[in-house]
Amino acid sequence: MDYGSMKRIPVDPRVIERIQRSASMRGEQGNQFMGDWGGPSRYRVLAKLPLEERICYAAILEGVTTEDQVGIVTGLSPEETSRGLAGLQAKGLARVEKVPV
Amino acid sequence: MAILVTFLLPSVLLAIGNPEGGVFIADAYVFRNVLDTGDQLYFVRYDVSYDPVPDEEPKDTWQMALYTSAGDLVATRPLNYYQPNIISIYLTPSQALTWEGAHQVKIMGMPSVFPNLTEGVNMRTRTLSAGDYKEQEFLAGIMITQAKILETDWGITLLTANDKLNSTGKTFFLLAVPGLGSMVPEIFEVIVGGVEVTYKDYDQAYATSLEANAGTKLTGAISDLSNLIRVPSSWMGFWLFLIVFLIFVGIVFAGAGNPGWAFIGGFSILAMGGFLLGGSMFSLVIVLTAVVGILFGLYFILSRYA
Repeated sequence: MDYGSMKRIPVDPRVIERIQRSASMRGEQGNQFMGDWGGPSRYRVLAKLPLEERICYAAILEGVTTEDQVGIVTGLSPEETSRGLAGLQAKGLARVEKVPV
Repeated sequence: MAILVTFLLPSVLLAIGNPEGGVFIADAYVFRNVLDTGDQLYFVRYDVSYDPVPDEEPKDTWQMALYTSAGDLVATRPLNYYQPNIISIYLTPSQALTWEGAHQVKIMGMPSVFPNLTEGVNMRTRTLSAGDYKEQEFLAGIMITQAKILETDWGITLLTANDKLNSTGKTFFLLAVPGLGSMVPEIFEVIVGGVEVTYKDYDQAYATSLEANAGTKLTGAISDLSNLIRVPSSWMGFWLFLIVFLIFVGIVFAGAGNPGWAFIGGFSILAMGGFLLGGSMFSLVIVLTAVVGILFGLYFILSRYA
Protein backbone atom coordinates (compact mmCIF):
# COMPACT_ATOMS: atom_id res chain seq x y z
CA MET A 1 0.00 0.00 0.00
CA ASP A 2 1.43 3.35 -1.01
CA TYR A 3 0.56 6.23 1.25
CA GLY A 4 2.62 8.69 -0.71
CA SER A 5 4.11 11.57 1.21
CA MET A 6 1.81 10.89 4.15
CA LYS A 7 3.37 7.56 4.93
CA ARG A 8 5.60 8.80 7.70
CA ILE A 9 7.24 11.85 9.16
CA PRO A 10 10.58 12.05 7.38
CA VAL A 11 12.61 13.98 9.92
CA ASP A 12 14.07 12.71 13.13
CA PRO A 13 12.41 14.71 15.98
CA ARG A 14 15.88 15.67 17.16
CA VAL A 15 16.25 17.82 14.04
CA ILE A 16 13.07 19.70 14.84
CA GLU A 17 14.11 20.17 18.45
CA ARG A 18 17.46 21.48 17.38
CA ILE A 19 15.78 24.07 15.15
CA GLN A 20 13.41 24.97 17.95
CA ARG A 21 16.30 25.68 20.32
CA SER A 22 18.04 28.02 17.88
CA ALA A 23 16.42 31.39 17.33
CA SER A 24 18.22 31.95 14.01
CA MET A 25 17.32 28.52 12.66
CA ARG A 26 13.72 28.94 13.77
CA GLY A 27 13.62 32.31 12.09
CA GLU A 28 14.83 30.82 8.81
CA GLN A 29 12.00 28.32 8.75
CA GLY A 30 9.39 31.04 8.99
CA ASN A 31 6.68 31.73 11.52
CA GLN A 32 4.41 29.02 10.25
CA PHE A 33 7.03 26.32 10.40
CA MET A 34 6.65 25.24 13.99
CA GLY A 35 2.91 25.57 13.67
CA ASP A 36 2.95 23.14 10.76
CA TRP A 37 4.87 20.66 12.81
CA GLY A 38 2.83 21.29 15.92
CA GLY A 39 5.93 22.28 17.84
CA PRO A 40 8.72 19.95 18.90
CA SER A 41 6.78 18.34 21.72
CA ARG A 42 3.83 17.62 19.44
CA TYR A 43 6.19 16.36 16.77
CA ARG A 44 7.73 13.91 19.18
CA VAL A 45 4.28 12.66 20.05
CA LEU A 46 3.48 12.27 16.36
CA ALA A 47 6.68 10.36 15.73
CA LYS A 48 5.60 7.80 18.28
CA LEU A 49 2.08 7.34 16.92
CA PRO A 50 1.03 4.12 15.25
CA LEU A 51 1.21 4.40 11.49
CA GLU A 52 -2.52 4.61 10.80
CA GLU A 53 -2.98 7.34 13.40
CA ARG A 54 -0.12 9.32 11.96
CA ILE A 55 -1.49 9.04 8.45
CA CYS A 56 -4.87 10.25 9.63
CA TYR A 57 -3.22 13.15 11.43
CA ALA A 58 -1.32 14.09 8.29
CA ALA A 59 -4.56 14.02 6.32
CA ILE A 60 -6.23 16.31 8.86
CA LEU A 61 -3.29 18.70 8.61
CA GLU A 62 -3.84 18.71 4.85
CA GLY A 63 -7.37 19.96 5.42
CA VAL A 64 -9.42 16.78 5.15
CA THR A 65 -12.55 17.04 7.28
CA THR A 66 -14.52 13.82 6.90
CA GLU A 67 -13.73 10.21 7.62
CA ASP A 68 -14.48 9.17 4.05
CA GLN A 69 -12.07 11.77 2.69
CA VAL A 70 -9.39 10.56 5.09
CA GLY A 71 -9.81 7.07 3.69
CA ILE A 72 -9.66 8.32 0.10
CA VAL A 73 -6.58 10.55 0.39
CA THR A 74 -4.60 8.13 2.53
CA GLY A 75 -5.54 4.80 1.02
CA LEU A 76 -6.36 3.42 4.45
CA SER A 77 -9.16 0.91 4.74
CA PRO A 78 -12.35 2.06 6.54
CA GLU A 79 -11.37 0.00 9.57
CA GLU A 80 -7.87 1.49 9.67
CA THR A 81 -9.30 4.97 9.25
CA SER A 82 -11.73 4.47 12.11
CA ARG A 83 -9.02 3.07 14.34
CA GLY A 84 -6.67 5.89 13.39
CA LEU A 85 -9.18 8.64 14.10
CA ALA A 86 -10.29 6.97 17.33
CA GLY A 87 -6.69 6.75 18.45
CA LEU A 88 -6.11 10.43 17.67
CA GLN A 89 -9.23 11.40 19.57
CA ALA A 90 -8.22 9.31 22.55
CA LYS A 91 -4.88 11.12 22.65
CA GLY A 92 -6.53 14.50 22.29
CA LEU A 93 -4.90 15.16 18.93
CA ALA A 94 -8.12 15.35 16.91
CA ARG A 95 -11.77 15.97 17.54
CA VAL A 96 -14.11 13.55 15.84
CA GLU A 97 -17.82 14.33 15.83
CA LYS A 98 -20.69 12.46 14.34
CA VAL A 99 -22.91 14.95 12.54
CA PRO A 100 -26.48 14.19 11.40
CA VAL A 101 -26.72 13.69 7.66
CA MET B 1 25.64 -19.09 40.11
CA ALA B 2 22.43 -17.67 38.72
CA ILE B 3 22.88 -14.53 40.77
CA LEU B 4 26.44 -14.16 39.55
CA VAL B 5 25.35 -14.36 35.91
CA THR B 6 22.73 -11.71 36.52
CA PHE B 7 25.30 -9.31 37.85
CA LEU B 8 27.64 -9.95 34.95
CA LEU B 9 25.06 -8.84 32.43
CA PRO B 10 25.47 -5.30 31.11
CA SER B 11 23.54 -2.80 33.13
CA VAL B 12 22.11 -0.99 30.08
CA LEU B 13 20.55 -2.91 27.24
CA LEU B 14 19.34 -1.05 24.15
CA ALA B 15 16.16 -2.70 22.98
CA ILE B 16 15.98 -1.10 19.57
CA GLY B 17 14.38 -3.04 16.75
CA ASN B 18 15.04 -3.09 13.04
CA PRO B 19 13.82 -0.09 11.06
CA GLU B 20 10.28 -0.78 9.89
CA GLY B 21 10.78 0.99 6.59
CA GLY B 22 14.21 -0.54 5.95
CA VAL B 23 17.60 1.05 5.55
CA PHE B 24 18.82 2.66 2.33
CA ILE B 25 21.84 4.38 0.88
CA ALA B 26 20.50 6.97 -1.51
CA ASP B 27 23.81 8.49 -2.59
CA ALA B 28 27.47 7.76 -1.97
CA TYR B 29 30.40 9.90 -3.10
CA VAL B 30 34.12 9.97 -2.54
CA PHE B 31 36.01 13.25 -2.86
CA ARG B 32 39.75 13.72 -2.69
CA ASN B 33 42.13 16.59 -1.99
CA VAL B 34 39.43 18.30 0.09
CA LEU B 35 41.63 19.55 2.92
CA ASP B 36 45.01 18.18 2.04
CA THR B 37 46.59 16.66 -1.01
CA GLY B 38 45.74 12.98 -1.13
CA ASP B 39 43.02 12.92 1.55
CA GLN B 40 39.57 11.40 0.94
CA LEU B 41 36.03 12.17 2.08
CA TYR B 42 33.45 9.37 1.95
CA PHE B 43 29.99 10.92 1.93
CA VAL B 44 26.68 9.07 2.21
CA ARG B 45 23.05 10.15 2.17
CA TYR B 46 21.07 7.44 3.87
CA ASP B 47 17.65 6.63 5.23
CA VAL B 48 17.28 4.61 8.39
CA SER B 49 13.52 4.45 8.13
CA TYR B 50 12.11 3.93 11.59
CA ASP B 51 8.39 4.14 12.10
CA PRO B 52 8.03 5.48 14.73
CA VAL B 53 11.39 6.99 15.58
CA PRO B 54 12.89 5.11 18.54
CA ASP B 55 13.94 6.70 21.80
CA GLU B 56 17.48 5.36 21.61
CA GLU B 57 20.07 7.80 20.38
CA PRO B 58 21.30 6.98 16.85
CA LYS B 59 24.89 7.57 17.93
CA ASP B 60 24.50 4.60 20.25
CA THR B 61 22.84 2.26 17.79
CA TRP B 62 23.74 2.95 14.15
CA GLN B 63 26.92 3.72 12.27
CA MET B 64 28.51 4.29 8.90
CA ALA B 65 31.30 1.84 8.16
CA LEU B 66 33.97 1.87 5.47
CA TYR B 67 35.50 -1.36 4.20
CA THR B 68 38.24 -1.88 1.64
CA SER B 69 37.58 -3.83 -1.52
CA ALA B 70 39.26 -6.75 0.26
CA GLY B 71 36.66 -6.57 3.03
CA ASP B 72 38.87 -5.05 5.73
CA LEU B 73 37.20 -2.56 8.06
CA VAL B 74 38.83 0.87 7.73
CA ALA B 75 36.72 3.20 9.86
CA THR B 76 33.31 3.64 11.44
CA ARG B 77 31.38 6.69 12.52
CA PRO B 78 28.10 6.84 14.49
CA LEU B 79 25.06 8.33 12.81
CA ASN B 80 23.71 11.65 14.03
CA TYR B 81 20.07 11.07 13.15
CA TYR B 82 17.59 8.46 11.98
CA GLN B 83 15.41 8.92 8.90
CA PRO B 84 16.83 10.57 5.74
CA ASN B 85 20.12 12.23 6.61
CA ILE B 86 23.80 12.47 5.73
CA ILE B 87 27.08 11.28 7.22
CA SER B 88 30.70 11.06 6.16
CA ILE B 89 34.10 9.59 6.98
CA TYR B 90 37.30 11.54 6.39
CA LEU B 91 40.59 9.80 5.70
CA THR B 92 43.92 11.59 5.93
CA PRO B 93 46.42 11.17 3.06
CA SER B 94 48.19 8.43 4.99
CA GLN B 95 44.89 6.59 5.59
CA ALA B 96 43.52 7.08 2.06
CA LEU B 97 42.41 4.01 0.08
CA THR B 98 43.02 3.18 -3.56
CA TRP B 99 41.29 5.80 -5.71
CA GLU B 100 38.34 4.39 -7.68
CA GLY B 101 38.62 1.08 -5.86
CA ALA B 102 35.58 -1.13 -5.27
CA HIS B 103 35.47 -0.23 -1.59
CA GLN B 104 32.28 -0.56 0.39
CA VAL B 105 30.35 1.88 2.52
CA LYS B 106 27.74 0.50 4.88
CA ILE B 107 24.96 2.00 6.94
CA MET B 108 24.47 -0.58 9.63
CA GLY B 109 23.34 -1.19 13.14
CA MET B 110 26.11 -1.38 15.67
CA PRO B 111 27.11 -5.01 16.24
CA SER B 112 26.94 -4.40 20.00
CA VAL B 113 23.24 -3.57 19.67
CA PHE B 114 22.21 -5.73 16.71
CA PRO B 115 23.54 -9.25 17.20
CA ASN B 116 22.40 -10.30 13.73
CA LEU B 117 23.11 -7.93 10.88
CA THR B 118 21.21 -8.72 7.72
CA GLU B 119 21.60 -6.92 4.44
CA GLY B 120 18.48 -4.88 3.67
CA VAL B 121 17.06 -5.31 7.16
CA ASN B 122 19.45 -3.55 9.49
CA MET B 123 22.37 -3.04 7.14
CA ARG B 124 22.80 -1.61 3.67
CA THR B 125 25.95 -1.90 1.61
CA ARG B 126 27.02 0.19 -1.37
CA THR B 127 30.02 -0.98 -3.37
CA LEU B 128 31.66 2.10 -4.79
CA SER B 129 32.24 2.37 -8.51
CA ALA B 130 34.38 4.74 -10.54
CA GLY B 131 31.44 7.10 -11.04
CA ASP B 132 31.15 7.68 -7.31
CA TYR B 133 34.63 9.16 -7.13
CA LYS B 134 34.77 12.92 -7.62
CA GLU B 135 37.46 15.53 -7.56
CA GLN B 136 37.37 18.30 -4.97
CA GLU B 137 35.84 20.85 -7.34
CA PHE B 138 32.59 18.85 -7.42
CA LEU B 139 32.17 18.91 -3.64
CA ALA B 140 30.42 22.29 -3.42
CA GLY B 141 27.87 21.57 -6.13
CA ILE B 142 27.08 18.09 -4.84
CA MET B 143 26.60 19.37 -1.29
CA ILE B 144 24.11 21.95 -2.53
CA THR B 145 22.28 19.28 -4.52
CA GLN B 146 22.15 17.08 -1.43
CA ALA B 147 20.79 19.98 0.59
CA LYS B 148 18.01 20.49 -1.97
CA ILE B 149 17.06 16.82 -1.73
CA LEU B 150 17.00 16.97 2.06
CA GLU B 151 14.93 20.14 1.93
CA THR B 152 12.28 18.23 0.04
CA ASP B 153 12.57 15.18 2.28
CA TRP B 154 12.34 17.12 5.50
CA GLY B 155 10.16 20.06 4.56
CA ILE B 156 12.76 22.30 6.16
CA THR B 157 14.56 25.24 4.58
CA LEU B 158 18.28 24.54 4.33
CA LEU B 159 19.31 26.90 1.52
CA THR B 160 19.08 30.62 0.95
CA ALA B 161 17.71 32.13 -2.23
CA ASN B 162 21.28 32.17 -3.56
CA ASP B 163 21.75 28.43 -2.95
CA LYS B 164 23.96 28.86 0.08
CA LEU B 165 23.54 26.81 3.24
CA ASN B 166 21.64 28.86 5.80
CA SER B 167 22.32 28.42 9.50
CA THR B 168 19.98 25.41 9.66
CA GLY B 169 21.68 23.75 6.71
CA LYS B 170 25.10 24.67 8.02
CA THR B 171 24.35 23.02 11.35
CA PHE B 172 23.35 19.68 9.86
CA PHE B 173 25.99 19.61 7.14
CA LEU B 174 28.81 20.48 9.53
CA LEU B 175 27.57 17.79 11.87
CA ALA B 176 27.68 15.27 9.04
CA VAL B 177 30.89 16.55 7.45
CA PRO B 178 33.17 18.14 10.04
CA GLY B 179 35.52 20.58 8.37
CA LEU B 180 33.17 21.24 5.45
CA GLY B 181 33.52 24.95 6.19
CA SER B 182 37.22 24.73 5.38
CA MET B 183 36.70 22.42 2.40
CA VAL B 184 34.11 24.54 0.56
CA PRO B 185 33.57 27.80 2.44
CA GLU B 186 31.76 29.29 -0.56
CA ILE B 187 28.62 27.19 0.00
CA PHE B 188 27.92 28.78 3.38
CA GLU B 189 25.76 31.84 3.79
CA VAL B 190 28.17 33.39 6.25
CA ILE B 191 31.87 32.72 5.94
CA VAL B 192 33.88 33.20 9.07
CA GLY B 193 37.63 33.15 8.74
CA GLY B 194 40.69 34.42 10.49
CA VAL B 195 41.94 37.88 9.70
CA GLU B 196 45.10 37.80 7.68
CA VAL B 197 47.75 39.76 9.53
CA THR B 198 50.69 41.34 7.73
CA TYR B 199 53.54 42.13 10.02
CA LYS B 200 55.70 45.10 9.13
CA ASP B 201 59.27 45.52 10.22
CA TYR B 202 60.01 49.12 11.12
CA ASP B 203 63.64 49.98 10.63
CA GLN B 204 65.65 52.41 12.69
CA ALA B 205 66.91 54.30 9.65
CA TYR B 206 65.74 57.74 10.75
CA ALA B 207 66.86 57.36 14.37
CA THR B 208 70.23 56.09 13.14
CA SER B 209 70.62 58.92 10.64
CA LEU B 210 70.23 61.44 13.48
CA GLU B 211 73.37 60.11 15.13
CA ALA B 212 75.44 61.93 12.54
CA ASN B 213 74.14 65.28 13.81
CA ALA B 214 76.26 65.05 16.92
CA GLY B 215 79.40 65.84 14.95
CA THR B 216 82.87 64.49 15.51
CA LYS B 217 83.72 66.52 18.61
CA LEU B 218 80.64 65.64 20.64
CA THR B 219 80.76 62.03 19.47
CA GLY B 220 84.44 61.82 20.41
CA ALA B 221 83.79 63.31 23.85
CA ILE B 222 80.98 60.88 24.58
CA SER B 223 83.09 58.00 23.28
CA ASP B 224 86.02 58.94 25.50
CA LEU B 225 83.81 59.20 28.56
CA SER B 226 82.18 55.84 27.80
CA ASN B 227 85.61 54.23 27.46
CA LEU B 228 86.59 55.75 30.78
CA ILE B 229 83.81 54.11 32.74
CA ARG B 230 83.34 51.16 30.36
CA VAL B 231 79.76 51.61 29.23
CA PRO B 232 78.41 51.72 25.67
CA SER B 233 78.68 55.16 24.13
CA SER B 234 74.94 55.23 23.41
CA TRP B 235 74.24 54.80 27.12
CA MET B 236 76.80 57.45 27.93
CA GLY B 237 75.15 59.98 25.64
CA PHE B 238 71.74 59.09 27.00
CA TRP B 239 72.74 59.67 30.60
CA LEU B 240 74.70 62.82 29.79
CA PHE B 241 71.69 64.47 28.22
CA LEU B 242 69.49 63.27 31.05
CA ILE B 243 71.83 64.92 33.56
CA VAL B 244 71.85 68.14 31.51
CA PHE B 245 68.05 67.91 31.39
CA LEU B 246 67.80 67.63 35.20
CA ILE B 247 70.21 70.53 35.70
CA PHE B 248 68.24 72.70 33.31
CA VAL B 249 64.96 71.74 34.99
CA GLY B 250 66.48 72.67 38.35
CA ILE B 251 67.62 76.07 37.07
CA VAL B 252 64.25 76.93 35.57
CA PHE B 253 62.44 75.72 38.68
CA ALA B 254 64.68 77.86 40.89
CA GLY B 255 63.82 80.92 38.82
CA ALA B 256 60.17 80.36 37.98
CA GLY B 257 59.11 78.32 41.04
CA ASN B 258 56.79 76.25 38.86
CA PRO B 259 57.61 72.58 38.11
CA GLY B 260 55.39 72.61 35.02
CA TRP B 261 57.41 75.38 33.33
CA ALA B 262 60.60 73.67 34.49
CA PHE B 263 59.71 70.44 32.69
CA ILE B 264 58.53 72.25 29.61
CA GLY B 265 61.83 74.10 29.46
CA GLY B 266 63.78 70.92 30.10
CA PHE B 267 62.00 69.17 27.32
CA SER B 268 63.91 71.27 24.80
CA ILE B 269 67.11 69.69 26.14
CA LEU B 270 65.70 66.25 25.54
CA ALA B 271 64.56 67.23 22.06
CA MET B 272 68.03 68.50 21.32
CA GLY B 273 69.50 65.25 22.63
CA GLY B 274 67.19 63.27 20.38
CA PHE B 275 68.22 65.34 17.40
CA LEU B 276 71.95 65.07 18.13
CA LEU B 277 72.21 61.49 19.34
CA GLY B 278 69.29 59.73 17.63
CA GLY B 279 68.89 56.10 18.69
CA SER B 280 67.40 55.47 22.13
CA MET B 281 67.44 59.16 22.99
CA PHE B 282 65.23 59.86 20.03
CA SER B 283 62.89 57.01 21.10
CA LEU B 284 62.68 58.52 24.60
CA VAL B 285 61.73 61.89 23.18
CA ILE B 286 59.01 60.37 21.03
CA VAL B 287 57.58 58.39 23.98
CA LEU B 288 57.70 61.42 26.27
CA THR B 289 56.01 63.53 23.61
CA ALA B 290 53.20 61.00 23.40
CA VAL B 291 52.84 60.83 27.19
CA VAL B 292 52.86 64.59 27.54
CA GLY B 293 50.34 64.88 24.73
CA ILE B 294 47.98 62.46 26.48
CA LEU B 295 48.37 64.17 29.86
CA PHE B 296 47.83 67.56 28.25
CA GLY B 297 44.66 66.28 26.65
CA LEU B 298 43.39 64.73 29.88
CA TYR B 299 44.16 67.48 32.36
CA PHE B 300 44.08 70.63 30.28
CA ILE B 301 41.66 70.18 27.42
CA LEU B 302 39.20 67.83 29.11
CA SER B 303 39.18 69.73 32.41
CA ARG B 304 38.32 72.95 30.62
CA TYR B 305 35.96 71.87 27.89
CA ALA B 306 34.53 68.46 28.82
